[in-house]
Amino acid sequence: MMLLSSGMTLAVTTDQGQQITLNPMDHPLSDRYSNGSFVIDTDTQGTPVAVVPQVTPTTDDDNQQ
Amino acid sequence: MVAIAHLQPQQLGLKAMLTAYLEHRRDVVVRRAKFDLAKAQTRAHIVEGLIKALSILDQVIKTIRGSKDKADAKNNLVREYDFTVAQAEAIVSLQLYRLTNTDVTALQAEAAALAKTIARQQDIISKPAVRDKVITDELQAIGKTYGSDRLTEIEAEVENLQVDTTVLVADEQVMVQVSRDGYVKRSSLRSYQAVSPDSNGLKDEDAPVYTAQLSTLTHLYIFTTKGNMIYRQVHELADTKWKDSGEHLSQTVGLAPDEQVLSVFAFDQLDGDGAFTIGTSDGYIKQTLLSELQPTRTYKSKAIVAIKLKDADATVTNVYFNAAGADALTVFVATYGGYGLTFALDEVPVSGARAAGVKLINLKPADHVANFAVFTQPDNAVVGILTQRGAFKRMRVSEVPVTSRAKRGLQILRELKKSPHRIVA
Repeated sequence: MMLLSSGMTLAVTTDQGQQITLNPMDHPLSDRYSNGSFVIDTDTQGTPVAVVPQVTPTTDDDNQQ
Repeated sequence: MVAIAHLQPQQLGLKAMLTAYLEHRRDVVVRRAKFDLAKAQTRAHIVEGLIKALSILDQVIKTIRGSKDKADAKNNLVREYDFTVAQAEAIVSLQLYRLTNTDVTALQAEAAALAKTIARQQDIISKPAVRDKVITDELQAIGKTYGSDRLTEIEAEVENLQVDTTVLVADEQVMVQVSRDGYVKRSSLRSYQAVSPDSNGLKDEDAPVYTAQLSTLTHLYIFTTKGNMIYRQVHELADTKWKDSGEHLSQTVGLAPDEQVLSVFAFDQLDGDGAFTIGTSDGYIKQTLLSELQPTRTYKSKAIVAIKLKDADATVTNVYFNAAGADALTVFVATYGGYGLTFALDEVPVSGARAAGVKLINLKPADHVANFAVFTQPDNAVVGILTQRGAFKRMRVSEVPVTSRAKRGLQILRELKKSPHRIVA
């Protein structure tokens, strides 16, 4: 579970060591009774074990914005 | 320091060095006393002979006048008056002016003084207390002659001995990277720009947790999944090329084999206000002030405990930093079993660094906290939820109304009878 912000992409790690990039904005908002939509084929890519926001390097140019 | 003691090079502390010096002084004093004793005894023997000779002066003169030469005079004195050879030699060498009454008195005074000296030297040789008194007196005399006032001040307690190393460090901008598996590095901007950002030097199964351009004087707080906080200033990180992996934290700080870096915070100053919010997988949460998590004297070799994990298998799920004066904050927590709970962060008390915290959510047996988030506007906050079956959904936090801490919460996934979805960490 991850707090989302605009422009954020997620890096999903599976138990097979695969790194999958996920763009949350590609998915619609759901209610709490929804189970969402399948984005990872667990048979071929493995079971997701960790999700972290993909780190975008912060440079001086970003700080000045 | 290393010194030669008892003919062997040894590592000696202050006490051992002083003890060795005292042993040396005792040896010196005994040798000197033995020398002085022998000298005084020899002189006393001569003086005794001279006094005896003066008491029978007429017979002695007569014997000397009746002798053939000096050697014969000495032999006659030894034979007739039981003088020793040394005494006889002193008598025949005696100058005539020494025969005055004054000189006899002087010889008697000398004999008395020599007797005292002999007794004193014998005491020094045979009595350790007398010997130590001599050493004490001599050291005090040296102190009086050559001593100078202490320039330093001895205090009962040293308040805060801090060397400001920042004045020695050049303030320059560098790129910093900390990876999930614990590799840290700093690289020059030139090295960073020379390669593509993806060439970060990490293994395929590792990933950067933090990458930023920082000053070499910036303070980094690196939190791990086992509740430890590792403090470093940027200039203390290994200076490597951007395409190199960097230095592993376990090279300086002991990390558990399954311990990973969770999050990294950068501070320009450490005296600011604000608090960390730390939550664990076994359902505890706490706030700890930045001032409570200051680097210790041993920070380079030892991680600082940021939260006490009640369950050895538990991990820290997330760490947030809330600057002082921020708007009212809300917490949303999601569990592996699919429960979600929203409550105000004000319900979480501020506690010390070693505290375990308070209950975050009422977990069902075998359930654990997948993650939690802290934010300001619950109406606009959106979370992403990924399940072990590979499903992803976006959901507004407002789907779970704000209640209070330590409750069970609401289901945020539809529970399936077969292959139910579970939220991954």
